[in-house]
Amino acid sequence: MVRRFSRVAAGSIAALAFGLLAACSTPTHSTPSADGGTAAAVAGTGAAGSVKTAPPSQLCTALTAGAAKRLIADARLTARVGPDKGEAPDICGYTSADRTSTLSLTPASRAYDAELSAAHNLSAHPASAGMRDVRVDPVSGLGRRAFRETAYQIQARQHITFVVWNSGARTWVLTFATTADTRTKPATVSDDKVVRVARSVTAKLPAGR
Amino acid sequence: MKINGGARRGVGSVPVRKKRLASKWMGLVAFALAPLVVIAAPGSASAASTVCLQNSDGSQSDIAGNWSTPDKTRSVGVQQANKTWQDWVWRGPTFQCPWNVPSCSYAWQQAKTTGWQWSAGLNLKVPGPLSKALSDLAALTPSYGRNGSTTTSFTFTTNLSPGQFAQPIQVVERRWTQGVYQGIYHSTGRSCLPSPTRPNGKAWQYTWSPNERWGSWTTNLKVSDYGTYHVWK
Repeated sequence: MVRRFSRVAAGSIAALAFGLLAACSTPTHSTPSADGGTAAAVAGTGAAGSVKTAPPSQLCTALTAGAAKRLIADARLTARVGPDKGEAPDICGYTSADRTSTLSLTPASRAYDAELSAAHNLSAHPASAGMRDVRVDPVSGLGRRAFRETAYQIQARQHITFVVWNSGARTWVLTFATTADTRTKPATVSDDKVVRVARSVTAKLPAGR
Repeated sequence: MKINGGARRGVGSVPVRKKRLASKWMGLVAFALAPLVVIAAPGSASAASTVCLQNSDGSQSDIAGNWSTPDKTRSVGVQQANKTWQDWVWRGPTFQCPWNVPSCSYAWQQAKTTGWQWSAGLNLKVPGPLSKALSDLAALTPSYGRNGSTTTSFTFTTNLSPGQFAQPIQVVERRWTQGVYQGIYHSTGRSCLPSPTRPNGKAWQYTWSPNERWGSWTTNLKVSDYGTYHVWK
């Protein structure tokens, strides 16, 4: 097994060397690393067997590959790494073949109101998460309440769209991130494809807590 | 000198006498292997036969069989822990998901290769005379001293909640294991004739006790290795 990893890594190092550090594929965030680097989204295939991977989430029955391909034409399921202890987070994710775009669906870890409050805080203080151009817009026709949050993550050079909605007992987060060097204005909510995908999957999501 | 009361064969027994000529010859050959702690005559060896061996100090101390002797001491695992433990052989930089975003998907975009040893923390307990050959005995312990490495391409993501920390790590999963050594040479008390090349050598006739267990070792043997993320809040 060890030798297999070595072969895989040999090819990976050069490709990833400039991407050093961290990032949110979904991004958000980002604390600068000691290397000063950042990376784009990610996921992937890579050295199968060298990492602890978790099985696909049940959420992928809602966010299907077909739904993901409305945002990422060549979407492929993202392998998740299980943490060293505890449960792997419940998330269904897809990435593009070139790893420049990612899409993920996960339950929110906080109540809807807390998410909305955090979004407004990020809008007021985008630098705290290494971002700029943060906007929060209400979304209609999605669950009981919903909002969209758009931002640009500076280090990862990613345009990020969060769609957060409350469907009763649970709050959901759909995140779409795509790498781009140029500043672009986000689509209007009514034309936003991420919002459309959220609307198309919400009925298939589990209702209970 | 004895180790765990291993059986000794009677001096001057018939098999020993029958092999005397062979023993002389083996003694000669043995001295050619002078750098060894244990000098042995290859090619002798049934359990009932004797071989001429020489300790570095010329004593009749028991001798563990090594690569240079006809019979080899081997290590036997006798007990292992049910649970394994994580030996972090490498940890990368820490990343924190900002608290004011709904979610983070984190991947440390780099490959990392880290070396490690298959066996960690080897502890040997052997009778005094044999302690001189600890390095030889360590080599008999399963996987001791073998080097391995893990290369992980951390291109996989792990999802983080707001405020959570993550860092890439490489883990060697280990299990505490205890064992003993099996097989030992006992001196018959009869000396071998000096060889032409080592006229002052003090080799003794030894018999091999194949099933005798002696000494003990404990170590943490590798079970598996992998890369993952350490996530905490």
